[in-house]
Amino acid sequence: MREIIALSLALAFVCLLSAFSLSFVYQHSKPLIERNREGELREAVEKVLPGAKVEYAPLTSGRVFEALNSSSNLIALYKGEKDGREVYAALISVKGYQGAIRMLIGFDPGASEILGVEILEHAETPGLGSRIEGESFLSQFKGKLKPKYDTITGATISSSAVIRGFVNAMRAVMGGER
Amino acid sequence: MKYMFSVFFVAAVLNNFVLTNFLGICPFLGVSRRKGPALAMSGAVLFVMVIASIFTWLIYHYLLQKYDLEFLMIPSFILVIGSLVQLIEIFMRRFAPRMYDVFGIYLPLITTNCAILGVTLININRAFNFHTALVYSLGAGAGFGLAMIIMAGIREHLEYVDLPRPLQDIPIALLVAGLLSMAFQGFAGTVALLK
Amino acid sequence: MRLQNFTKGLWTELPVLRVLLGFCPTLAVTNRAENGLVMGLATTFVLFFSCTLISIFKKLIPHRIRIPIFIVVIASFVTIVDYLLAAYYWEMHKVLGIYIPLIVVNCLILGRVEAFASKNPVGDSMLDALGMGVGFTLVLVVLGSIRELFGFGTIFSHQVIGKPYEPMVLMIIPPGALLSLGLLLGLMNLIRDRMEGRR
Repeated sequence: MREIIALSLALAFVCLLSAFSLSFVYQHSKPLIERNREGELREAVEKVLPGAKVEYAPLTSGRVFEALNSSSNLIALYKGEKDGREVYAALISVKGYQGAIRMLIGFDPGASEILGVEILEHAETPGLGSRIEGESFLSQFKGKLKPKYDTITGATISSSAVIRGFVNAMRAVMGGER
Repeated sequence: MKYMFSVFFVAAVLNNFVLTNFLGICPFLGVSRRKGPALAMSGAVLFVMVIASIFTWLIYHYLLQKYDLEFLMIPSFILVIGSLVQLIEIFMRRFAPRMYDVFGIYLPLITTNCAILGVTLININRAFNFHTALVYSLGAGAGFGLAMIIMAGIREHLEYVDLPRPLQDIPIALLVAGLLSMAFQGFAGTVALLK
Repeated sequence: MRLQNFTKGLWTELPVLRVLLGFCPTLAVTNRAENGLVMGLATTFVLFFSCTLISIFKKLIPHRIRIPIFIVVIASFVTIVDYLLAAYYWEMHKVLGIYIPLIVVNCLILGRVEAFASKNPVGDSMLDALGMGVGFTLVLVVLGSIRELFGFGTIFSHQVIGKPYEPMVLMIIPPGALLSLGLLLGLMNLIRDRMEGRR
């Protein structure tokens, strides 16, 4: 019996030491990690809303929010201001070929204009489906809403998923255009 | 309900733990030489996976997260898994001796099975709720078993093939696993179609 | 402190290709040479510090609970590596994902600690750990380079094969990993057989 207690104490001691040192490392690295995570999002938002001043507190109400929330899998919506106009960046999730695709759409609802689209996260096939990240595919979304968008040969499902998500979201906010 | 089915399917087939995520590849290569042990190991793995998922999920959500102790996740999970395996072994020996005769020796090996730790970590990383985590671990275990059994069937036949010495045993097993993995890639996209 | 403790990890007892352990991370992160390098270094970090610490305190660790204690030590260093990567090398942390925590169950580390560090002097244990770690990293980099070369046409993100080359996507998805490792292992066996045959 005595042996078991002694052994348990020894193990507990080691665990305590471990917990102590880990908590130290955690405290130190936590702010850096938060900053990295946020930095990623900010970089993408800056790409889709170039030159805009953005508030990074996600919106939870308003016309734009309602429209997006009901039509798409909305993760977050950010409001910004560019050249005196109200602009938004919407982070939505769509179902791709291999998993969820996270895309960020920068748009100006007042002028019915798309300012940029970025793919943040995906699990699509490297070399094929991953081409949805490319400028040549994403640049077609800029400007006014078009009736038709081009898919990528060899990555039909991945690219149509992106297109579908994009069109659903933007039609809901800006109204259909044919 | 449909969602649960697709979660199970993804874990078992689409993102098969062994053939796509390479979790559990060590026991996979080590125990898949014969169908009998393969089946037994798979059973043990499935059993431990589900129970470990339950316990680690509860510990994370009601203990670690609550008291801001997320950084203790890795050590606590692995300790939980290790102790669970010990407990299961003791339990089995006492109350299900026949089961122990079949699964018994594989249990200690399971502690270092990356698949077990992998499932528990994924349950947390992907923020699954309790039911989803449960179904996911079931699927993962089933997938592991599926891969094991197919592999064992093939390797039993490989015994009769005249292979060059350098390729015997593990290298050829890896090559076969590669082909299996390729076959499983064919399932990609089916879940998207399920919706 | 015999240098042999270090060098054996580089050839005779080369992890993955000779000592058949540590396949899981090897297959998972070697689709790019850089990923393999970072994973190898992270594993070496954990291996080195765990072995050193345990070797220093080997006389104080009660034999009956040595495995749980080893595991707690290893798990702690893995957590440290995980957080350091997340703080200072975010991109890589995202890429390596859950495979960093899985270093804990890399049989290589527990194996070395149990078989060597817990029974040998500190200096030898440090060399042993370093040798194994460097060997492991080498294997990961070689495999990663091969897969990246055929799968992307690049090595360490430097374009090696030119434009007309249509990348072999197979190499960077799971089946490619298994096939590459199988062939590499077969090659290793062939080399070893030839060397032993000549002796």
